[in-house]
Amino acid sequence: MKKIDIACIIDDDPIFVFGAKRMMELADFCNGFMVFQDGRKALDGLSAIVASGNNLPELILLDLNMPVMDGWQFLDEFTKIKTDKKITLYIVSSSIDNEDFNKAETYEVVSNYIVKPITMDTLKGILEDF
Amino acid sequence: MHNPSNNRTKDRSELFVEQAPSAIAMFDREVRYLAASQQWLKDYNLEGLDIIGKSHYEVFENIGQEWKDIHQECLKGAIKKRQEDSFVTNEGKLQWITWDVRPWYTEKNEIGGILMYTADITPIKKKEHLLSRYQYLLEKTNEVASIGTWEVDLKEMTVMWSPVTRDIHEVDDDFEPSVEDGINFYKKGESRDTISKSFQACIDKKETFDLELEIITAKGNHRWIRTVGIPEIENNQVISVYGVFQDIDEKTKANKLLALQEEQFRQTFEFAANGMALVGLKGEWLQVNKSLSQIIGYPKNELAKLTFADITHPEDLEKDYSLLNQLINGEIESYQMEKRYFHKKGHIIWVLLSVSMVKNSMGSPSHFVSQINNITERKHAQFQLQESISRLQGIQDASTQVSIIETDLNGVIKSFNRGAENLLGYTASEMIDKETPEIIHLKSEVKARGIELSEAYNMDIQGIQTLLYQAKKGLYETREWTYIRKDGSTFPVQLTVTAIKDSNNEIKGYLGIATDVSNLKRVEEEVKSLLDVTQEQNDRLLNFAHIVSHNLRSHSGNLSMLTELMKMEVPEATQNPFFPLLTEASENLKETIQHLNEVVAMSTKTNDNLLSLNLLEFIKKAQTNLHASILESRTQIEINVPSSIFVTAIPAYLESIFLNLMSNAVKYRSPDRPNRITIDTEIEESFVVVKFTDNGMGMDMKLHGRKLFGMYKTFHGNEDARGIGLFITKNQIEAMNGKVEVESELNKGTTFKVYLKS
Repeated sequence: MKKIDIACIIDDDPIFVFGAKRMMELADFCNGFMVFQDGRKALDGLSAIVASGNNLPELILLDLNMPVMDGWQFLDEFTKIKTDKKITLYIVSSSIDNEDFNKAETYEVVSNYIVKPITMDTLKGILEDF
Repeated sequence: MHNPSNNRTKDRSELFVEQAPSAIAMFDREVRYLAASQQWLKDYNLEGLDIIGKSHYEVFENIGQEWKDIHQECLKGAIKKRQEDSFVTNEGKLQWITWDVRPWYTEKNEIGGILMYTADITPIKKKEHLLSRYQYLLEKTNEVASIGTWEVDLKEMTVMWSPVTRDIHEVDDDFEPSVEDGINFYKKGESRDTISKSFQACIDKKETFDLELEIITAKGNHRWIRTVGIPEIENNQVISVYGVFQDIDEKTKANKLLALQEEQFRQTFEFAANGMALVGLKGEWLQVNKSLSQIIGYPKNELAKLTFADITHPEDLEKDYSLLNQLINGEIESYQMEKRYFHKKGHIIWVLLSVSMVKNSMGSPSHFVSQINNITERKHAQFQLQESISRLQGIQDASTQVSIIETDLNGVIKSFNRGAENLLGYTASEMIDKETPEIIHLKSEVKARGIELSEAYNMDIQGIQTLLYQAKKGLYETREWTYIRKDGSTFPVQLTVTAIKDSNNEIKGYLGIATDVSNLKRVEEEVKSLLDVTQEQNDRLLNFAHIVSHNLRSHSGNLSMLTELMKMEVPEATQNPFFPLLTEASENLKETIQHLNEVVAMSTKTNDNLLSLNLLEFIKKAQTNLHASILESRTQIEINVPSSIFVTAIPAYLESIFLNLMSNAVKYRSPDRPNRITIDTEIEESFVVVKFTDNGMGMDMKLHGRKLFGMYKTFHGNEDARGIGLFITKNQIEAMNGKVEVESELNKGTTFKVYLKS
């Protein structure tokens, strides 16, 4: 089982961010975290990292429903960033709307769609896929 | 060449010959010219030539042998002559002559030669020919015109009658009358006296006569004739009387005409399309034609034994008699009536009877002529028409709230019913023949519609035509319009305009039927506002669904995540009695949100996703999904569903329904007996009925029946009761045009019957 270097969480819900981080720590999931409260901040932050040549995260957990820039808008912009590094992106949302499921499938960059809450089992599953 | 011994005689003869006024020539025995008259020289173009002493054959080289033969015969003593003879001249013309050749004798009574006499009669012959043609034409003309001729030769006292004259006298062709006979044909008395006097006057005083008199023919017929007499006068003496003779008695011709007319009448009478009869003064049938016999069903011979009264409907008899009497008394010349006859078979025949009277030569009534037309069909049609007219009138009068307006082709109002009066405030008399429906229409609406129609038909349609045009085109047009009352107030109507057509399918006018739709409009407004409210509420519900779907789920998700984290990070907390309660509350919240989400999703889905699905396949799928709990509960499932059955359903719903029913049957099993589920199907009309029967706890239907499919109703003490499950199931079934029924008995079991569209 591989350990992820840096995992990035893009979510505006502080409880989810807290819980997710704790679970990842307990599961010894990754070496470090990167957290953004909305899509705009994430895009700006990640763009800056690319520009400075620093390490991009290996994994991104993206929420859909966020203020300023939501998950879909982020995806549209993020796909435009050119980088050689392989980044795995999961959508993590409490929406169980089929429309959202179907829309997620149209993005090549999206590896899977996880319905909240995330559990230890979910995290283990992600690591197995790596 | 002259014979000296005859000199004196010859000289005198020659002088005679030369000076004769006719064409004469004298020849010697050798046919040499001794002398020729001036006329001879002229006639034969010999003037100025010295022919004396020359041979005739020398002078006329072409003379034929037949002439030479004649000359020779004459020289032997014969006399040859011809009244008319023709020959062709040197110039090729036909010439008619009369000739005479004879010998002349010397004093010694010897033949000295021949004398030739000729006369040119060509002009006479031409006239003769013309005359004969005229004669022929005259005869023909006379024959055609029935004009004969006659002539009385007074010298010979002979009488000549032309064939037509003989015909008129009706005598044989070889009849040769005397003058007396001719006179005696005239009728004794005035006619005979007049002809005698006139004939005598013609002879004595040379007076022409032209008379119209009566004769009695050889066959005894009286006949009026016209005779014209003209005297022929010679030396101031009447030598003959001739004239024409013409039949002026029309009787002959008239008789022939009468016979023809009688035959024509007989034919017409017999074969006329309408019934005809000659009826005696006592009402007896004197003569009936074929059509009449057919109309009333009696053969002619049977009818001859009856009177018209025998077959007339008693109710019509009195009127018929009274009219007949008026006819006999001369008060009327003819009459017509519609009446009823009894057909031989007993049914009633309606006829149109026309009767006129024939008088005899004394002027008194002789018999009646009746014309009888079968109008039974027309009568029936008339009765039906009357019936429908009165029915229609009834409808019109009864329709006090429906405006019925009839117009002519130009839109001028022809009828205006009570409903129209009620609704519009005008009286019928104010409208009929005076106004068009334009007066009750809003001008702006008519104008706007006119523009629409003008565009649609690519022609200028305005004014009253706007209201009539569609009907004229054969369309039934129903539209909403605004009517204006007499007092100026308005109200909405639904107006249908149709064309009124006659039996030839020609448009005779238009009918506009309008109903007041004020109330309808008001209700429509109310419904519309209700719909708006519902729409708004629906939108709000959808919005709510989103909140449920997302926000509530996020919170509930966080709760489960936190309890899981607590379990791992603070294991001792799980020992606290509150912890399991907290976990359960979190799980219940999650499940409730899940259900609510389903309910909302259902109300927003459409029927577009209905597919034909294999029933057995979906039942097996539910069985597979519940595999664990089925095994655990040791439930025995018997599926009696043929694989050939398909139902029309939404896949997700069908799956959910079977899962729900099957899990219910597992959950609410009886603790007292092995759990058993039976699934059967049957076809009922357009439905496939799927029966889920279990032997579980069952329910008290009296207690719970009505609430069974309500939201959040649970009936069992069971902890994970999902009352909402049945609510969702019922709604899903109904969304697929099906229905669900339930039978249950406490402690016996439950049967759900799911009706799905096949």
